[in-house]
Amino acid sequence: MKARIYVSCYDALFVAMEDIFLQFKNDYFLDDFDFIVFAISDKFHPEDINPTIKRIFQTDKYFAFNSEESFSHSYINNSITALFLKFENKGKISIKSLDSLNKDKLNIVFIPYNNEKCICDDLDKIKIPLIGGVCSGERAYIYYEGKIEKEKPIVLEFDNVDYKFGISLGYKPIGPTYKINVSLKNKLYVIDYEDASLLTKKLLKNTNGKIENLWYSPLLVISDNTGIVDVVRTFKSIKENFYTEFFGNIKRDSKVKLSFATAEILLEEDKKVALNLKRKISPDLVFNFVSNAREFVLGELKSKESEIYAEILNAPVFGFTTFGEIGPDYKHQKPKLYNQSSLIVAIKEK
Amino acid sequence: MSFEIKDNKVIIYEPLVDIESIFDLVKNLKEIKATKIIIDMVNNYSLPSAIIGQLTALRDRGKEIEIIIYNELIFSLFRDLGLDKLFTLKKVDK
Repeated sequence: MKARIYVSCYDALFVAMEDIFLQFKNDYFLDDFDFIVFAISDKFHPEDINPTIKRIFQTDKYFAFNSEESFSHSYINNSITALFLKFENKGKISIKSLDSLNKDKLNIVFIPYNNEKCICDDLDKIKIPLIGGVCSGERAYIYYEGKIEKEKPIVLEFDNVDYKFGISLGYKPIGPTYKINVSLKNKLYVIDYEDASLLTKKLLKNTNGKIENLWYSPLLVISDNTGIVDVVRTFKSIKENFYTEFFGNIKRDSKVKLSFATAEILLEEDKKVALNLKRKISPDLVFNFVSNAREFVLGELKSKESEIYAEILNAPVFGFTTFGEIGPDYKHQKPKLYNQSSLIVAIKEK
Repeated sequence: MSFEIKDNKVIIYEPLVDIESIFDLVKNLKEIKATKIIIDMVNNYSLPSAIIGQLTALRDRGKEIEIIIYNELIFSLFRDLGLDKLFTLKKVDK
């Protein structure tokens, strides 16, 4: 499989798409393409995206989604990044819904983000391992075959490929273990018999009060079965006297701990994950789903993450920020929503 | 007065919004000696998490907690929160 990534930073949708088209035409790396995947900023109007892609690229073989930031190698972009794919053997890509999945293929899932809805409620019902993420932005949708999907997850199915994945977390547990007494989906009401919103306010004391300050110390949910960190949860908002909201569900009776990481610790973890994957596969392409909150913690070093993956795995990295990363559980049987992680999928055509 | 305590019954007349009245009620709940505590929500449409937390703590120390609710929405929220498994929830139609 040949993969090439083009980036445009223009603020006008038509101009940015045209810029990408010209980069593709002038590059001569690919004569033509089998499929294009676009990561598109949510600053563009959703209704304009499908017609603009069709008009410029004259194809239905595309899949687009909103992402606040996307990147290729060390270049971070908040406009459009496009991945062009050309299969050289029997590789194939198709767009599927959750009810038509085949567990023998690589299923990369994208979930639209709607602020009013709790994300990923249905993940527990799926019995097939999925890899992917929740689109990021104020209104983060999916676009394909002239349609706009605002609610349902959509899957990119890769056929006749080998793949390996890795999840980089890196947060170190600190302080006591708390027990969740009362929670509802992604809202935490009572923790160790105390008002969860009050505890969160205490954590924000001596800061400017912005919830983003807590992205340096997300909540680690400890697995009852293994005693190790199950998932990380990112603070989203506080409703005073009632609850603290997170970017993912937290079950009642879960045990949780606060955590801490610096940019250097996170990048060190990325290196370990990439080196581990390198032993298993020499990929043609790498997808990288990165948490927005993780990017916030990485700060000025955020471009380093994809640079590390590209250099170690020696393949193009198509990366974008997400409001939740989806990977298999520890038994590799079911998909699970992660937060504050950097998830990579290394793909090689058979 | 936002709440009143008569023996083992706590009557909450209006929503508790300020932190002082919430902690005043939490302190009073801790001092109730009876093994069963009844919370009467009256016209109240919300119960702050600090109070739910204190009631959960009292329940885990062996006290029986009964909450009388008049509002359908709050009754349904409490059930969604799983509080029906911790406390006895009584829905009263006005």
